[in-house]
Amino acid sequence: MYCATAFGLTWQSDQPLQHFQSIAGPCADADVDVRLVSVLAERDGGLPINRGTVYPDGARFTWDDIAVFDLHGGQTIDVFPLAGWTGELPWPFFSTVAALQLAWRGALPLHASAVAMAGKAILLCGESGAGKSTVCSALVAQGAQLLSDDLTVLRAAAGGHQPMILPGRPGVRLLPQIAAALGAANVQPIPGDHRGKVMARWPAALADSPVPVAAIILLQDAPAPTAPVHRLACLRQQRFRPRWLDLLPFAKQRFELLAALAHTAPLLTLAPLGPFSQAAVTQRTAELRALVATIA
Amino acid sequence: MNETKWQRKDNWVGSQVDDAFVMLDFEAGKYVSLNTTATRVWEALEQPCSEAELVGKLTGAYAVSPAQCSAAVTRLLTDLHGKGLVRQVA
Repeated sequence: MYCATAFGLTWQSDQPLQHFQSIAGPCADADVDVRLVSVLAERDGGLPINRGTVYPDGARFTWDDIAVFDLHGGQTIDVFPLAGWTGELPWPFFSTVAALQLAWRGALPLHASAVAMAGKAILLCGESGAGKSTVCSALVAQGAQLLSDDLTVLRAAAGGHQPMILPGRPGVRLLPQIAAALGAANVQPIPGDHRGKVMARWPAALADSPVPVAAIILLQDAPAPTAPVHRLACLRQQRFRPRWLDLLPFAKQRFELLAALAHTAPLLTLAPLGPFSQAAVTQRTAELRALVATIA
Repeated sequence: MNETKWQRKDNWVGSQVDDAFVMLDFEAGKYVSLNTTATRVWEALEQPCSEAELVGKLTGAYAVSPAQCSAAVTRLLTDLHGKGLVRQVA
């Protein structure tokens, strides 16, 4: 049995959880049980969406001809291998499926990366290709703690409203040449990645507990919105797999957490990274540090 | 003043952001922002309320005459109804 932690949950599986932070020893009181099954349960009354279906008691997500993931009640994920099964959990399990499972349990998944600097979380948002993962990796290489890459998951602090970022996967998905240029200590291939990206890790980089959000950096040229309604709408656009989220439980709580995020964290902008170069990365991380220094 | 009762429509969710109460229509993806008085009316309309009952709540909270308040509540309910936030229940 394999045991790992990610996004505030303990995951147990009969398959390797290669992109989560593994835990040595027995897996006591796991939150989520992931198991390979040879028969897919009959499920009725679902709403079809994208590559799957939402049911009253869970969801089903199909990834190409690789596998069907059957989520039950936020606790169990059945993995039904299809003809193209490669013998290991594919990347979408650690991304889309994990996000759906976390949303089913009330968390808020965003398409963003995040680091912790001096105990404060900095959320990096922007369109695909804006440089979220590269800037995040450069900050980690400079000593920041990694919180999450690409999929960032938030929850309200226990007993309060403060949005907290949960430590996610221990690596960053990058092109191999960028991982090498940023001095990644360990690089793991991601089979099936259409751009040939790898999972890059730095030693002891992952934060070990949730961190309060101190600022949101939008990697874009346009100025950040200032009116409350526009700030909230802007943050809502950053949701991960938004069409699914609209159909899953806890939609009102996720909206309230987004509002708390808009209420508590300043929304700042930084120009997108553009083509990778060491000079561009050095300049952008310096600009980001200067921006972060302006917040209380 | 007529005795028609009003109530929130349940496709909206709202939360405080700075000094505004920002609301989202989950079905249409449409946002609106309410001021303090409109927020108070929205909160009161969790249960069905007539205009007279709303005026009673507001004159108890703000230094405003019943006549002025009544006219403002009528305008506000018309506005909220036009934006699809409230419905008549009786």
